[in-house]
Amino acid sequence: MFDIGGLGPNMYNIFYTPSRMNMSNDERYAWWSLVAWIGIMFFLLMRFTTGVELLGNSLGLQIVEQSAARLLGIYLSLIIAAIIAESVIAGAMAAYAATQGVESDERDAMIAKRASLASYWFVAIALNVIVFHVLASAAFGSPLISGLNLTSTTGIAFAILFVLVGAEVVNRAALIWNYRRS
Amino acid sequence: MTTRKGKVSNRIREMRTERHWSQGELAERVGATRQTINAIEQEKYAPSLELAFRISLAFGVGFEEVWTFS
Repeated sequence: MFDIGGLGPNMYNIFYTPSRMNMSNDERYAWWSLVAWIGIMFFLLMRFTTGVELLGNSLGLQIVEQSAARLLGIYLSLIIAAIIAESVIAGAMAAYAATQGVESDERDAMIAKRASLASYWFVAIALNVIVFHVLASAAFGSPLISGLNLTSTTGIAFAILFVLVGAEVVNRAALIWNYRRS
Repeated sequence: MTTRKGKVSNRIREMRTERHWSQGELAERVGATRQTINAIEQEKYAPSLELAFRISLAFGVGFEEVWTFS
């Protein structure tokens, strides 16, 4: 039984998994991948932002300006972290799937499509928010959200990476949500 | 024009128990995962026409004996 918080079976408790219905490989992958991408998002926020102290690190809405060399280093670290995390998880899942019967079917494909749609909408909305923020900031002379200056190289790099990593987090969360509901 | 949402019901659990098949066994016969069979039995997921036909064929009965639409 997997039941975080002990809420039991109800439609709002996506963590509840009856013991007779174990997770499919794709759902298991989604959980581990979500954890990995939340970690990568935490790393991104830790490197780019400041404002609130959390677990010995500073992150928040205030972007910390960085040198080009450091930005490149952070970017490469993110790519390497994402490749390693996804490779390890996919490898482990493939090894586990080899011991199982059918790996995935039409329901998994349908859920993957819904999750892709959710991440598409996240990207579309986030990009529109960024464009509005930049245009409105230029029109009014100062950033709409204090400290979120997207006109610098650091600001642009952060905004784009945040949307990319955020889209992955939304995708995995949508996968899990849909597995719980259908 | 208005469209009413229908409900696809099935007798999979009943027919599966009659044959002493587990969800995994039926899943293997129709090329689906056990989780999908479970979701179909609980009527949380309506399968494609192809999978619905494969399930009927696995039981060796007609389509309408397994599936109903209301």
